[in-house]
Amino acid sequence: MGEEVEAPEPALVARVRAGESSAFDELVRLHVGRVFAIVLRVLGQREDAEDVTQEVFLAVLEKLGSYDPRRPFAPWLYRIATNRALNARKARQLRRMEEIPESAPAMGDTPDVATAKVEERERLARAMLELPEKQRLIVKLFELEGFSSVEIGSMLGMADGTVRWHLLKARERLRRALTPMEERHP
Amino acid sequence: MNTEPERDLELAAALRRLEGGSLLTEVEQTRIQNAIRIGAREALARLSRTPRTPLEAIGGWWRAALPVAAAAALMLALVQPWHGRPAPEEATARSGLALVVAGEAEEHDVARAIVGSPSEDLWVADTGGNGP
Repeated sequence: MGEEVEAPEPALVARVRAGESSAFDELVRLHVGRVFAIVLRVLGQREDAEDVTQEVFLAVLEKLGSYDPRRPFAPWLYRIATNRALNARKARQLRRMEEIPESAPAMGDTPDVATAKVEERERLARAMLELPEKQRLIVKLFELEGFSSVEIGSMLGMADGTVRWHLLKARERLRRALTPMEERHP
Repeated sequence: MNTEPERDLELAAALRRLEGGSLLTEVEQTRIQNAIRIGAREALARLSRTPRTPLEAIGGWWRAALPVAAAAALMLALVQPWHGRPAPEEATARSGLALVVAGEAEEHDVARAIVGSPSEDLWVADTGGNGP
């Protein structure tokens, strides 16, 4: 994280509320990357994530009247993004995300290393699919996007302690998947 | 469970290989921002027309109502001399006549309704009976 985006927001939001389009452009520019990342981690497809990211910002514009400017803007926005993405996932019945991605060995690897990597990837993909949806999303937002447990809790409407519990459970299963069978049972 | 867990870099790297990155390309970002800009036009125009506080809403209402109220007051002032209340005597005479027609008038009211009020008699007396 560490993005310094909080400072200009109260003024920007006030200008957007007055219908100033340049302020809205600036607000979008500041947050579009993070919103896209959240939506992508829920949906798994970039094209779908692009569509939903647009919907999120238009929804923000409609809901701006209910935003309390004394509270930080980003968690409010990320919560809208998460809810929109989860709803879109349900509505569109996205199954593509649950297909195991085709494994391709990286260039320059020896055949043994390449095979090991492909196997690891397939084990990890299977383990991800076996995780409850909530845990899968938590581990992606924490490990891949760098959100804190408090931020994830605010997005998903759960206590940060609960987020950390889910994270540890998810990690245990994924860690097992990363360890080859022969190492686990020599 | 009370402290923030450390990031698991190895797991993160493996997940990134599986899931891919989430950084927007410049092309994607431009496409999204343009689409949002187009989609937001109507809502932004609506917001710019909407008063933000109740005070502004009342202020806006008054701003519109003031010229209307001023025009109405002016019209009323101009119209008033021609459509003023009838003179008390006329009103009395009319009501006297109404009573006569209805058959409910006293004798002196009947006379007054027919010949007019004493002030009219006075005017007739002053002009020597040659009224206009």
